[in-house]
Amino acid sequence: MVRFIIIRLLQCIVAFFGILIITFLLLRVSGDPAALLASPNFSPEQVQAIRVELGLDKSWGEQLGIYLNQVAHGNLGESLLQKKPVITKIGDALPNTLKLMVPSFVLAMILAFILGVLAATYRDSWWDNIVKFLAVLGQALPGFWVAIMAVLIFSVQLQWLPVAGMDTPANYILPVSTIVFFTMPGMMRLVRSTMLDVLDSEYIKMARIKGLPERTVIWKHALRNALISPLTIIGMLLPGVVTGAVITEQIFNWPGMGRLLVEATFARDFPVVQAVVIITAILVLGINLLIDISYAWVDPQIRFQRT
Amino acid sequence: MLSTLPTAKTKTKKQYRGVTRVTRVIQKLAFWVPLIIMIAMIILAIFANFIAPHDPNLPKITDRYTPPVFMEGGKSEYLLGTDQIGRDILSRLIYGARVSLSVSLLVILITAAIGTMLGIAAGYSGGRADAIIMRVVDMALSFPGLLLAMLLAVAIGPGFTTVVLALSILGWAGYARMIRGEALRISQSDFVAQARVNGASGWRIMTRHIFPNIINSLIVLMTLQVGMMILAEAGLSYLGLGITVPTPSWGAMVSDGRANLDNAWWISLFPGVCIGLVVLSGNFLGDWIRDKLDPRLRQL
Amino acid sequence: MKKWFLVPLFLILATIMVFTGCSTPVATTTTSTTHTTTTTTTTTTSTSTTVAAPYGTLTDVAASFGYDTWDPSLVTSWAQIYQPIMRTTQTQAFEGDVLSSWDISADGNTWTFHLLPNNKFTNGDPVTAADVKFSIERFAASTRSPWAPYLRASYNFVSMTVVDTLTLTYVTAHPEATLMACFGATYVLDKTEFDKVGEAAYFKNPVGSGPWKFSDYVAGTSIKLEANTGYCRPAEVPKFKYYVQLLVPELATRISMFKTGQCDILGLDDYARMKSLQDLGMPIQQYGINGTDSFAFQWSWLPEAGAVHDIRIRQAMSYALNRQEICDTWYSGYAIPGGRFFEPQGIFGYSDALAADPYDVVKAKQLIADANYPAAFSNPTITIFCQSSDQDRMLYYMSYWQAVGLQVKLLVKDTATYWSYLGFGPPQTDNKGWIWFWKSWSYPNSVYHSANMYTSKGVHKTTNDAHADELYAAVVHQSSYQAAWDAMTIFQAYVATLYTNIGVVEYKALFLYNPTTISSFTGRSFSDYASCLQGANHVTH
Repeated sequence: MVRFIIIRLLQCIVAFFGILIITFLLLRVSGDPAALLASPNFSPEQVQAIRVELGLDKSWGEQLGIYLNQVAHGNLGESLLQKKPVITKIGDALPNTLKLMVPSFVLAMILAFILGVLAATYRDSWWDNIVKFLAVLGQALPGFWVAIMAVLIFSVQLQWLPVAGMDTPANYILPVSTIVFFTMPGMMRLVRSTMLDVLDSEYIKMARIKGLPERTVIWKHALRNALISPLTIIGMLLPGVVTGAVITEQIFNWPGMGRLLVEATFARDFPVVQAVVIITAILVLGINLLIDISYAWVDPQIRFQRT
Repeated sequence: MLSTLPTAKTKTKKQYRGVTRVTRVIQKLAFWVPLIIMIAMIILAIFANFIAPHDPNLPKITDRYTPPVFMEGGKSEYLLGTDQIGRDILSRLIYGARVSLSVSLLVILITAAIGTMLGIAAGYSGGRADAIIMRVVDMALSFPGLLLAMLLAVAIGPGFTTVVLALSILGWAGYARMIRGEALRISQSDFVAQARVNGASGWRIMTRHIFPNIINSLIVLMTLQVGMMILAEAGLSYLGLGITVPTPSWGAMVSDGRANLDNAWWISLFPGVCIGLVVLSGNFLGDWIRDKLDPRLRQL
Repeated sequence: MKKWFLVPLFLILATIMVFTGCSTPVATTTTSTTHTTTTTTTTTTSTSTTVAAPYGTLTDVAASFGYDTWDPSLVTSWAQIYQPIMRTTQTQAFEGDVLSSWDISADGNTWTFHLLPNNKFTNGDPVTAADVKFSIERFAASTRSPWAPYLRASYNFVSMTVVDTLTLTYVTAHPEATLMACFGATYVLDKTEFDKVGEAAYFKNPVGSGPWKFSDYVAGTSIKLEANTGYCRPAEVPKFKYYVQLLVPELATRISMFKTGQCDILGLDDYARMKSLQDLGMPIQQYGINGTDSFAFQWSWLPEAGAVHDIRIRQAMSYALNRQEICDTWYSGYAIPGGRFFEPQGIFGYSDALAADPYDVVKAKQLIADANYPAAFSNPTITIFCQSSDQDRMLYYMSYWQAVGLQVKLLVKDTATYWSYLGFGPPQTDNKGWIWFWKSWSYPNSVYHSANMYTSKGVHKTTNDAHADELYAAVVHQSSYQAAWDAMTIFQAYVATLYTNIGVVEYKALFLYNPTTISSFTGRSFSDYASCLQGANHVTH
């Protein structure tokens, strides 16, 4: 077990630096931040002065070395545009994203389970078809379009909800609903099919033969077995937690990580983009690692298979 | 809700004959309607230059913001109205089908090909090769896809190639992971063992024995992806990283008209409907093919 | 199929309705506090201070905050918390802002600044000559401001001396009346406070003497300013107690916020859209001087530039544009033909020689035929590049050129790449003969900007003409502002004949406002956006 964990940990570290270096190089190819910082009237010498000031005049290899050294010392650097530590920008944005994503995911998960289990239990009924249709509908339209339509209907026309901002609880309703609308269908499909597998199993047939009430069979025995899949779901959806909110945050004007990422990418604010990538990668790789370890704990076979 | 619905075990044919008949009709429709839509879209895409009534890229400023023909102020020459610089929406939709579908199909072909090859290789050979491939798959799956697409688009400039590249570069990983599982299962089966005993080469086993057995899963996954890719292209367009002007793509059209949804809704709504139709059709067809080919695949 | 569609839709609606049932209706953010003072603004003398106390909040939205800083040497967009040394008048001349007056010596080399007496920063410190000197020095050292180089010894600066607390002299090497434009961009910081708390702390809690004072700032979210009731010109103290600017990147969201009253001010790039909102009862306000829409030809003096190397092709491109139609359609009537690079009518150096070419397809086609286009060129395709925000307008403008037989191609570049092609990034090699489009606000005095467009040292790489260089040098060597103005007129009239820049239109700078909170704008609306908002008046019931 210890060997398994060490090997997986090393693999994660390699993957982490792989992601970091790819991002670093892609950003360098993408353009010159000095071009954005300069403005009308600038001479080439002045632009070069900005580059020197920001350390962009050095070779890519040298810049990468400096950066990796910084990161190894826990320093994410300074925003190129705002001369401000990147960590404070992340510190402002990350909690906002979590405030939006955590309730959305919890709600989506709860709904996905209820609807998914019901759909599986009453397979091929009206109810199942509605749920299936809902699942497809949620994945059928561009996210930004649905979000804007929601604003137009519920904020502009009906005047029930505020358009944007994050001051009041009412501000959460539209963005949370939008995220739920898009994330729930995928989860629901998974719950439904897992549940169908479980319902077909010998174990449930036995429970039924024993004459247990149907409600107990489904909500206690079957569901408990189907619950293993949430681990997989969490792992699957995690990359989206940090960056998946890009479009929702943009439209509902939510000052979170998604918006920060878009702004920083277009502004070529390299350290900020890199920091967002680092945080996403750590979150995703870390949680996948935990999931793998917990699987390995449960099922010793995996330990040998996966290393 | 629960108490009013009868449980699965107690339902009898007699009680629910009406429901099952409706269900059967719906199941039929769920196959034919999407199929017809898909075929129609493909025909539009192929014969766009013959079908489109106007040049999709020619602005006519004096006709800008013309509403669809069925609305007050509509003109018969612009059935679905015009956009912010007076281009015909219908013609742009028809040409947009070409762009949107080719992006989608191209990405699916590329990702499926790479994913299948790596997946079979990993699942069949196992050991170190498997471990390395699967770690790369993990890396690809943990890299935020949108971020990579953004980085690519700003690095090499937006355009058709960029969109295809951006959607393909991580997309193969999902295929690889699924195919690997299938390949692993099949390579442990008796007939593969038999082939091995008969002296078949690894390449032969992979292409002749494993691949034909995973092709069903592959087709289902590919069908389900058609719509997803069109949506992904729309997402990139929203961030200004999609297909470049003046080439019409549905995603870019929806995105261009978004600030006018309350004012000139037709600019954004019609391409949105097209996207919705294709996504729904792809999903229904995928579901249908899966049920026909292999009901065991419902996890997809 | 149709019925099936309705069922889930109904369910979604029902779910959302349940949600909304729990929430309280949202009040608009612009709820005004009770109006306690009944005295109306009866300022008979300029020194009278019996002005109604400011109340209420003015909420504005912005697509971006630009640089996230309060340092006026990095960005000037939030400068309303500081006072510049000079400011422009309605006739595009300059007057003192922290100055009561200034005089220039007979040789034109010594400027003597006389500061306003009793002018105070918001923390109570007096505004002194030492503060002005410090601010000029700090600004000149900036690596980010385009104006800074003109205040350096390497350009035309010799020395500065504090004569007394209210007098400062600024000595130059040669006479240059147009330096006023640079003084107009120099904002005055409180040196005492700056020395006491240091740079970081100063800009975290900035102190100035402008009409607004800093109240609150949430990074990437909002800026809040408070009316400075101690402002040196009591009549210009804002009537709204707070000015809030929210960062809202999505245009559709900004429009929705405006329609629901979540913000009071909305600027739009799409004038037809603006007109549609005006039709819903939202009034339009004009501010500042007209903006310009123009095209510039890069490296056109090189034969590699292709078709645009031939001046006849450049002229044909100008004659092919139906500017009046552009004004009537794209700009919904809020523009007039013209708009050469930063030169709308009436500003520094403008003359009738800069009037736009008429729409003349016959002449355009003749010029193209004379140039033997396309046969004479190995690659007749003409490349235009713009930012994505301008792409629709470009496709439209290009249709005029296509109509006279020119082959044109559009490249859309994202902002960073676009600016680097304008010469602010690493040198580009593939842009020989490219045309760039620029839609921009104008400046009352664009002499230094025009150097970039029309002199051989300009970063835009658009003009390389020795006579233009001489005429430009004459503009920046005058000891009187009027003489500089005349020299600028001659310079502009000459460069217009080179066709390295062609104006399309000059458009009015406009925004929409909410008539339930704002009744009108008075004061310095001729100057710029911030000054216009400063003069917003309440709706009185």
